[in-house]
Amino acid sequence: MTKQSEQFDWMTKSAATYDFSPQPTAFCTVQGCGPAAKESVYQPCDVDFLEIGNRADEKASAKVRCTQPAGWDGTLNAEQKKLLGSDDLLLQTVADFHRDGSYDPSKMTEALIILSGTTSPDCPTSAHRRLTWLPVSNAPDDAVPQIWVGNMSAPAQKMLAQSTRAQVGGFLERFWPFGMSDTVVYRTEISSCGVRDGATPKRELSGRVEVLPDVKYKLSLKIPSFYTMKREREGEYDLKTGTQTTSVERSTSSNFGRDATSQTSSTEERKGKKGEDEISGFSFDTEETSVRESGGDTYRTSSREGTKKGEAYLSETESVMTHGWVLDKELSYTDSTDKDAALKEEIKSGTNITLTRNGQEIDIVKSIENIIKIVKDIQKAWDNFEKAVPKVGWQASLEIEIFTGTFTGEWGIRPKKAATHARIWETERYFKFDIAIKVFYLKVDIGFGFEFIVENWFSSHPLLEIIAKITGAVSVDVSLSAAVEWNRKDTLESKLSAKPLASLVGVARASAIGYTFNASCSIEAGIEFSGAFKVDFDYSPTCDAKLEWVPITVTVDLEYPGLEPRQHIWKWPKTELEPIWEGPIFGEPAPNGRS
Amino acid sequence: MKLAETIPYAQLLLRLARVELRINDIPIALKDTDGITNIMTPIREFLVSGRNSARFTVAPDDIPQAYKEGGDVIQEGSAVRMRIAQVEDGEFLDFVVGEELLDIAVRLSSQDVPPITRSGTFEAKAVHRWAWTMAQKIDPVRDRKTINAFVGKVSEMFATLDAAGLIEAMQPSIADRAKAYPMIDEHHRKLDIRNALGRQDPKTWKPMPFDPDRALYRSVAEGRLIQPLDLDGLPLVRTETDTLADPAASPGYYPFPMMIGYKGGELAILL
Repeated sequence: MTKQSEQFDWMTKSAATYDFSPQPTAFCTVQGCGPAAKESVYQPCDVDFLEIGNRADEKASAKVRCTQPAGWDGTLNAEQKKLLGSDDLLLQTVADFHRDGSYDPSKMTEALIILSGTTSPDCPTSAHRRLTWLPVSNAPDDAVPQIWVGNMSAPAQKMLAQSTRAQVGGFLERFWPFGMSDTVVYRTEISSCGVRDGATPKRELSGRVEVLPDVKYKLSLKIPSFYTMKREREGEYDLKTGTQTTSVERSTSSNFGRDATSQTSSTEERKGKKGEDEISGFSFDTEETSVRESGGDTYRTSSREGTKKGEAYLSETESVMTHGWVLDKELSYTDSTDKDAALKEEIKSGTNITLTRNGQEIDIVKSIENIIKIVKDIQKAWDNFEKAVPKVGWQASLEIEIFTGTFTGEWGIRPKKAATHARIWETERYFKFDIAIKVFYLKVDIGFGFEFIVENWFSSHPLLEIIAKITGAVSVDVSLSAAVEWNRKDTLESKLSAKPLASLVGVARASAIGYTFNASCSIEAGIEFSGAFKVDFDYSPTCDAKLEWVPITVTVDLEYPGLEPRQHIWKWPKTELEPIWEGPIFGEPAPNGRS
Repeated sequence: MKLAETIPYAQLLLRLARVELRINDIPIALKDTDGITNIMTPIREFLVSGRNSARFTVAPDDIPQAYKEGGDVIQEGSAVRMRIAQVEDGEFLDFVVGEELLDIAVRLSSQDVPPITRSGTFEAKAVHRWAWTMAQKIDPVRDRKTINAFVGKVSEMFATLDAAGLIEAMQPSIADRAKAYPMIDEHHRKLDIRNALGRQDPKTWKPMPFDPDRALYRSVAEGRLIQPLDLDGLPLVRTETDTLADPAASPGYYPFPMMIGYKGGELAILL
């Protein structure tokens, strides 16, 4: 900011205490202007014109000018009058702005504001013309009012924009420059004695300069399918007791109806305890061990669930003792800390996402935490489902895609190519998006077994154990395809929803007894998606969504000629649960006061 | 070492459809689902030596369904798969298991006009000469009076929980099934029926009254058997809903499905 002009002590005398308002119409005297000089010689002193220009870019030089107050101008429409407010001129422009230090200040592009205006004829006391330059809002801390009196020329005012945008926020929220009150505003005034011979005097004219951040964002986003999870636990039998230590002999019921030579003797034992593995730092809440014998082999399965480095952790090992030899093998291993890091790295790597601001790339990875959180929440929900399954073995392959595909966009603020009016030169906001994305896609290949025991069906055999398994897939697929470009009235809001589609099939084991087995499964089951995608100037692009359970229901009927049919219904969840996940896939919830 | 027993199974996988499955023209399953249903039923007692037929009909028009308004239409996305296979005891009855004898599938659209039928044949060897294969033809119109009398008698025995009478009427069926699935012999099968009926409470037992005017006698097994149905398409002999000993465990009604035919000049329950 130039300081060649007369300066006031900003600290001791605020701008408000200076009287820049129009003075009462008066005569000028050799002693100066003022009511006290009424008896002095009459000398006209009045404003000729006020002009504000921006010469930062010679090719796009903007200029507004007036010779009389806006209130006298019959060419202004209501919208233009509203824009001007109490001023006679308005010049909006863009300039670079201070930000996170990743930019070289010497290379910043400033607005170059040229102020000019005259009064005539010469003021007898040289008090006019009086040209002022006042910071109004969002000016730098060291900005001070400036006044140039008489023939003193006003030097070009170099101006930078400000950005009050927070350095946090989701997805594009940090990079959405619209709807913020961070415009830098200065006011200029030219004043005279307001004395004109034979005409209405124009004692003062004023203009406003508004500088907005010069931002041109370009986004190219392409996220591939990045998350799959496979889990498998093999086991012939499982208990439903849930108690800490249980031992059940199952050789009779589990082998009813089989050929004697294919019978399997099975003993299971479960123990639970808490503990800590000092070497690995793994603190576990539960440790379960199950033992079963099949043929001549003994299978011991141990699983531990707890935390490691503050993250959920699961480890499972199975030992097989066969003919006196013990063979250890690790069944599965989950470390969510590593997984998160891998996810972030995967998103970060390559050129999947590129966001540039004025040509320079911005790290956007931090903004995709939401996507990672959804994955974790779904995984957590699926873990709960796994625990709910009365299982005879379990396997699941979970594939999730969130916001995959291409999402390209451009948005920013730019000066208009021409003046709206001789008094008004505006900037304009713009956005344009091309979207071809899968907002949400989930596919679960699932297999789990369950058993139920039919009592009193056969007199000769008091218990009939049916072991059935459910296999198939559950999928949800939500896509959005749109090309949207802002015009004055257009915003985009697309509501998205998709019901899960299940193709679950229940099968039982063949049995020489001769009963008929029917298994029915719902066709809509799994996770339901609903959401809305919005683009608006008021807040950055958002996609709010909700994921909810649609119960998986399996109904099994057993029929046998002459006997009462039996039915078994398995449903999960049994009661309505809280949504698995609810919130923005990207973008932040609308700020207070906006909806 | 004894080899595992193999059992012939019919598997029917259906989605968004009402389907009837027949083996050698004997209706062995009828299901209507708004989701996905898998039916697995052993079919040894329905097989003959040599060529056998399997057929499914989507939206069959010869079975009433008074409970459904608007009649049958083919739903978009309907699909049916029928598979016949020899499966070892204990194996999971998925659609790749065992020695496959027949596999027919159809996908339908709402443009298809019901009923839709698909059929095929396969070779098999009967382990016994079943009573139904020796039954003389029965005409549901000509023999209606005789059929009414027999079904009325069975209905009365069912209503009075007369296990002995029912077992006598079912004797050919019980004997054949004991031969088809010898895991449970004839003696225990009869015991099972006696106990199943014996545990019902006569005070809450509410059999549907027999009304000859509501009887629909379907000719099946190529004219050898009659399947008695009610005008609502359910078995003619059954209880009202929720009159079972343990309705919580087995919601619904107690059906007494049967197929009747001549044996030695008299009507009996052959299947």
